[in-house]
Amino acid sequence: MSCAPIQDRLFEYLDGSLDAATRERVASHIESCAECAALAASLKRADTPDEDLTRAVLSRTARDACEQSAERIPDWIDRSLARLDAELVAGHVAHCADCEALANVLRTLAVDLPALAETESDAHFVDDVMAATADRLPEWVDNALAAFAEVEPDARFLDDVMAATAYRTPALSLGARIEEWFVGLMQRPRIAWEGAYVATVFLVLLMGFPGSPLAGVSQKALELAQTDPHKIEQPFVEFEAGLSTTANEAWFSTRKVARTIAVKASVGSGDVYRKAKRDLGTLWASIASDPVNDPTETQEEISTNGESK
Amino acid sequence: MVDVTTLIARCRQGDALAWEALIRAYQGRVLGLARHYMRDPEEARDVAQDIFIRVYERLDSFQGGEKFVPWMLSLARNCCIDRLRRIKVRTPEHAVPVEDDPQIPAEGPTAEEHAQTGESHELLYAALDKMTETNREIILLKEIQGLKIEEIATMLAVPVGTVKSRSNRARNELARRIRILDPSYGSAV
Repeated sequence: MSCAPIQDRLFEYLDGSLDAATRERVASHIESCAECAALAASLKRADTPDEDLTRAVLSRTARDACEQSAERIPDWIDRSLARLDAELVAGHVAHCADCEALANVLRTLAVDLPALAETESDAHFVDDVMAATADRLPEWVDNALAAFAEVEPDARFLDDVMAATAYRTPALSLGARIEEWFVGLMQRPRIAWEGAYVATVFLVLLMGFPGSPLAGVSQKALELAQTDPHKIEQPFVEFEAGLSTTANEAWFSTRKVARTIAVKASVGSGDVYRKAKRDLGTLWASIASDPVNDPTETQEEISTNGESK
Repeated sequence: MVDVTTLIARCRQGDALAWEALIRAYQGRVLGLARHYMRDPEEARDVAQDIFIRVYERLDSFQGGEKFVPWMLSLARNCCIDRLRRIKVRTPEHAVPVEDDPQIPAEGPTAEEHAQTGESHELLYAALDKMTETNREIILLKEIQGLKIEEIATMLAVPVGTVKSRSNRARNELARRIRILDPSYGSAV
């Protein structure tokens, strides 16, 4: 066989695209023909990528591919890289022994490291922990117990308790109950004010009652208290000077009571006031004209005038 | 195994058997985490006991909606940090052996433990011991304890993106340190 047809098929022969019979003819010719063998070897070298050339170009045009590959290899092993990135890393690893070794180490670590998660414990470990927690009351137990410390009672709880304890109340006699009520009444803080009020009302009613010995005294006492002191002072002083000691004391007491009553009676109607003023004026006129009058008689006269009015 | 939610409900009712079952179910995880933080078997055992006591005391604050393991591991991490702080202020004669950083006790697993856990684990422990504390904690929580990134972010109070980037850096650091210690590690893949 001549060399020309063989050399025309050399590219296909190196690509592996020839049929079996032709490939065998080309191969047997190359073994017997040094010229064609040299040409085939030359074509084969030209088709093989030059790793040194690739690295040299990369080092002058971009960052180190191994550095970027190392950053992505963990994710590549975890299959969490995007498809394109995964293909790029796979392509790099296929041509880089260092990165391939790194990938192999990481794959092995993924298998070996989980085995370190657990450590064998000694036989007493569980017993020790159980003993350490046996007498311990955790905070959440306290909280749970505290929740039970106070429970909202239902609506009938109070009634049930009252019904269950009602028979324990001793039955009191009527007298004992009145006494208990009175003691409670007397022990109230307001009893002093209430007592004073009732006493005052009683006294005022007593003075207004027709058959009372104090009837009319209030009106006369009011007139006395409101009479112009310039008109009565002199006769009044003379009147008091003429009294005996006993009579003077009696008159002084009467006057004191009259003043007090007059203040109370000042709330009365205008008619009462004018009538009392007129009667007292008459009374004082008679006293002034007769300084030796017996004050007892004068007091009777006051009562008489009060009743008559 | 009984569902953990059921176990916790029974624990809250004072069921000692349920509490014992809960301890047995999670003692390995708790001890494992304590061991990685404390790096001292005795300290790890003591703090693991404290962790379970704290879990017991706070069972009422566990919401059924959240997962129990992340909640428990968060408590465990806080216990370990508290214990490490106390160790830091101990008087020298009572202190556990530490190197420069009190939060990173220098002692790794003992030789006996290495013999028990095997050569592979020994290599991993040795590489972990050389890592920075931040990266080591991420490896512990994510790769070893299997917590999700969102759970770790909540636990550490940092954004999810920060956890993710830290995680990738931490894994690469661990892989680099392992390759230095044993270049053949991973070659069987």
